Formats: sequence, C-alpha cells, structure tokens
Amino acid sequence: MMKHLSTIACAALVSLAVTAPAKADLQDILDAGTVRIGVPADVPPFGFLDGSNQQVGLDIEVAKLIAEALGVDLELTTVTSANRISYLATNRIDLTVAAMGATPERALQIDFSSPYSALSIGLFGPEDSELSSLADLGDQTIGVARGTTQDIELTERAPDANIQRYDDDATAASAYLSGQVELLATANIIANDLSKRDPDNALAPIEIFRYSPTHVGVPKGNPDLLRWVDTFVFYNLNNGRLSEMTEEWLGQPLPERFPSM
Amino acid sequence: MIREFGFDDVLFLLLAARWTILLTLAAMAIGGAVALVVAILRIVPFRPANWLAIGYINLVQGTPILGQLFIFFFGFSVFGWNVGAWTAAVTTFSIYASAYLAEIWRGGLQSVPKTQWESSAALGLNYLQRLRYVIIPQAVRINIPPTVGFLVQLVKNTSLASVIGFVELSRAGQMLNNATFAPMAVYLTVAAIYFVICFSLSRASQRLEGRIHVAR
Repeated sequence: MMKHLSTIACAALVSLAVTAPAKADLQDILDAGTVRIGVPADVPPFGFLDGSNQQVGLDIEVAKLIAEALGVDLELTTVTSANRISYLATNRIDLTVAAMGATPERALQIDFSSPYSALSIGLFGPEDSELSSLADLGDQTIGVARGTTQDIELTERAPDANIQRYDDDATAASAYLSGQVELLATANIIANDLSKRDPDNALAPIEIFRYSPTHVGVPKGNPDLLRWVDTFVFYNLNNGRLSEMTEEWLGQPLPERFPSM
Repeated sequence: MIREFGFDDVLFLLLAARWTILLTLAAMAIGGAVALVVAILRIVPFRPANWLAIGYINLVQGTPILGQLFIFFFGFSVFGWNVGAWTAAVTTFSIYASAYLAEIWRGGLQSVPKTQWESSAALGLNYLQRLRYVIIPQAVRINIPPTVGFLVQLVKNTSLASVIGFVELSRAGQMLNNATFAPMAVYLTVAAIYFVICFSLSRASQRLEGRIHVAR
C-alpha cells in the first residue's frame, strides 16, 4: 500500500513540477560546487551498510567517481525505491545512482543515462527442484521484491504465477528461507551470497531472465547534464573502469558488448 | 557482501532510536500545544469556533499520514522551498498529534460533570477562570490514560517517516536487514527497543495517575 500511495503522490507532484522553477542543469551544479546524488542504503551490493555501518556499494563508488569527474563536492542522499523518482522530480537531488533499471513508464517522469552497470536477474529455487523453466511452474509460489526489474520481468513472463511481493530483497529472501514461498526471483549475486552463507539451503538458478542494466537517473529538462552523464559513462566503459567496479561489487565484469543508449 | 549481525548493529539501532524518541517528543510538545487550543475551541459556546475546530480535526484525521508526509516533504519543494526530512516529519506528526489529542482532550473536558461548570459559575468565576481552575485540572487526570495510549501509538507511527528518508528505528532496522539478511535478529532487536520505549511510557503514566488526584 505504501508504494502505491507514494506512486500516486509522486505522479501528482510530477504533474505539478511542470510549472516548477528551472532545475539544476550542468552549469548550476558547477556553480554550486556540489553535486547532490541519491544512492540506496538497502539494495546490496549497490548500496548497503558495511560492518561499521557506513554506506558502501557500487552505486556509492560510481557517485564518487561522478563528483570527481565533475570536480565538485559530493553530497550523498539516501533514497528508497519508493521515493527516488520524487526526489529527482522535485529537485532535491541532481542525479540518482540507485540500481535503477530503465522502463518506458519511468522514462515519462525522469531521464535515464546510458547504463553504467548491470546485474543478472532470474528465478532461483532449491538445488533438488525439478523445475527447469518458468513454463512448468504449476502452482508454486514465488517471492520477489516489489517494483524491482525482476518483479516486472517475472510478471511479464509468468502472468498467471502465484507471486508474493515483498518490500525488499532481504524480506523476499527471508520468505524463501522460512518456507513462506517455494521459489525466489532475485539478482544472481544475492542468490550466490545466500548460498555461500548457508550451503545446506543453496539456491540454484531455474531460469535466468536477463542481464538487467542499471542507469543514472536525471531530472527532466536538463539536456546538458544528461549529455554529460552519458559521456561520463561512455568514457568509463571504454577505459574499463566501470567493468572493474562491477566485478569488485557484483562478482563478474561487464560483458564485451555492453548496450548503450 | 552479506555480513553477520553484531554488537555494532545493536548500537546503530539504539542511535537510530534517539530519532524515534526525539520525533515523538517534538510532535507531542508542538501537537499538544495546538491540541489544547483546538480542544477549547471545540467546546466554547461560540458556534463558528466549534466549526473551525471540527473542520480541522476532520481534515487531519481523514487524510493518511503518508500523504501528509509527502505533501510537506515533496509538495513544498515543487515551489522551490526545500523542507528537510526532520522539519517535514515534525510538522506532519505535530499536526497529526494535535488533531487526535484535541479530540481526546475534548472528551476529557466534556466528561467533567456539568454541575462543576454551574457551581464554579455560581462562585463568580468567568469562563476562562472556570476552565483554568476547575475544569482542566479535573480533565487532566481523566485524560492521562488515553493520552499516553495515543503517545504509544505515536512512537510506533513515527516509523512512517522513513518514506521521506528519515532514518529512525524502523528504517535503520530495514537497512540492517538488507545488509545482514538476518531478519529475526534485526527485527527482534527493533521490537525490543520499541517495547522498552512504550513500556516505560505506560509505567510513567501509571505513576502520574497516582500522583494527580485533584478530584478526590
């Protein structure tokens, strides 16, 4: 319900925002000397709390790299999947680097840069599961984090499936581990980590949906900023920097032919 | 990447609980002051004042806190006025508390027997003096249990402030759960901290009730 309400509130505010004053385009950020970037704190391994409860992750590293490339100070703001679009649309932050996948629906409200990284998403289950694809799913229940790319993908591929949606990946994983759901749709990296921690309940891939790219979010009406972020991404893809960072945090480098927008 | 839930995490939750307590106290102080005015406007023998108070209470009670939080946090920044998460949360919860407390206290004021109004009038006290010296002191005692009951609700409702990025106890718990994938350890600790806060409030309420006995 919470996400529903926030979507409505967000849509209402975005329509109001059309009349809002000019937003911080590239020159405004340079003039201010600070770039305000929204990053997650509850989406491992993109943004999460480490052992000393500092916010770390791939998205935090990319945000630092952006600030460095712009030559300005970095102001990090924690966003959630429910409020990140509102944050952008109301000019509270200049960019989001928040594990966000691009969809045509989201692109009506904000702009997306070329993808800076990607994660592999799919359906996972117990190692002895007899399932080999979504086609012979039957009435097994699937747990997934609501509104994520894997949720959208799963809903498209198996519209009649018995899908249970949870607030985040950790809650969906808990539902799976406690037997509330029989299968788990999540990111490859999370399934691997869970298996490493608890080898007796290792998760095996049943079907890998796709390689899901993540994009920097830019408020609408900032053509210079969007162009700059695209150039930044292009440059750091070509010099291998983003691939190295992806390997460090997500366990595997980016593929040779990585898509671009 | 996934790590163990440890002692540092308990400390992190305790530090986050400060914000839960501070937000509750701020909302209680500001909301309480407003509520007193609204409750009195609600009962004074002057119809337009009653209508104003009833309208305010209905408006606040009839809209979800989540919607109010979004309006204060995001709504104003549409007009170029950036409100911080703390300011938006305090404003929202103060308004929320003021409407509910006003109704609770109105009930308390009205439950003081009518004869108390009449006899204090017979002593030559004017309206405000009757309220100040006769009615409110008796209403306070009646109002302690429902007020503390509401306060306990308020403590738990502050978790809604997490939607605008305010890191209080619940949000801190959610963040830790996503770092440790250990929901039992995380949420049992969170629940224990909420229990300590709420139980202390209830105990304080009982002691306060024992001490205030103007009507006896």
